[in-house]
Amino acid sequence: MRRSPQTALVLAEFLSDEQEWRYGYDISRNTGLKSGTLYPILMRLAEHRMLKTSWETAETGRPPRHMYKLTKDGLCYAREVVSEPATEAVGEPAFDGTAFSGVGL
Amino acid sequence: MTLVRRLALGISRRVVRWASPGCKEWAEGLEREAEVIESDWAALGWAIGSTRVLLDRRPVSLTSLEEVPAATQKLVDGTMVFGTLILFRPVIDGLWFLRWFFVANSTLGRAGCVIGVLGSVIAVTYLLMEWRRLSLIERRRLKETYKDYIYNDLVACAHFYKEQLKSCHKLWIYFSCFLCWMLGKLMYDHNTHVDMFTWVLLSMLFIVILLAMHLWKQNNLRRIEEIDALLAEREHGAEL
Repeated sequence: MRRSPQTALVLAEFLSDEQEWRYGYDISRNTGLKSGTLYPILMRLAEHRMLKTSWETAETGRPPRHMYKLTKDGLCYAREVVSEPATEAVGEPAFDGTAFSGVGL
Repeated sequence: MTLVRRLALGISRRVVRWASPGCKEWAEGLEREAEVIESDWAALGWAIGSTRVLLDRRPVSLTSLEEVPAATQKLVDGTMVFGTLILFRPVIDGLWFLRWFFVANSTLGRAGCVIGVLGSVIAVTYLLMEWRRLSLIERRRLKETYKDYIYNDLVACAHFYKEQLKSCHKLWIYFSCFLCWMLGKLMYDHNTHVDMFTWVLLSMLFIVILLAMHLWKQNNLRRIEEIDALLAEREHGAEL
């Protein structure tokens, strides 16, 4: 699955409360993503079985809303993706002298 | 209700109506969100963004292996009908080009006929190979005891379905044959004046065919991924 910065944003948002079901508009507000960007990401996550979808139990006079939550696989993937930039930032320097330690330099 | 709000809801409703079967649920989800957004302009922005779902044309996703046999049946039946129908086309076209070859009054015209015949030969060979692959015995088995066979072994059926979907990717071969026929015909008719409108129409036809093929391929790849996920789930469940 493509790991775009927008996908990382959405996954990070889900990780902020792993157990809670989320509404699309709330995710959009918190991540700053427009519906046209957010929903293809959610659809891709669901397609890879990383996102569960559910319809809210209808209250009287109010149509049910669609809700989303990461699956177990989704949570693992989210943690992996979200931790990635941090790992890169703390990454080792490109050359630290150890690369040629075994070739007699 | 303000005009902006009405416009937003109108767009959302149309998105739901025109969304592909696989995106219907998402389009409905977007519509519900548009209804609860407080600001009218934000709702309109949301609704406009939701039209992006219309670009995604996909069939309904498979949710369990139990749904695979019906999908396989549909694909196999479709392939049989499609294969039978399109087998006649290259044969007829090939015969026409062969006839034109002998009446053509220029080298360019004859070269066009050769290209056309070549397209037909490739198409017929490809189609016959496909038919051979799905051998007679297998076809008979699929037709007669198809349900027993696939309903008893869902995993085997899923693998068979995957193979069928993969073979659909080779449709570009048929498209290249179509190109050969068009080129052959244009070369044969090189003395005839072809107006701009015909060129535009032909170009659009090619673009539409290419887009349809791309969409089909994308949906097949998506379906293959779904089957892989379902098979992995089944395997994981069996291990536990």
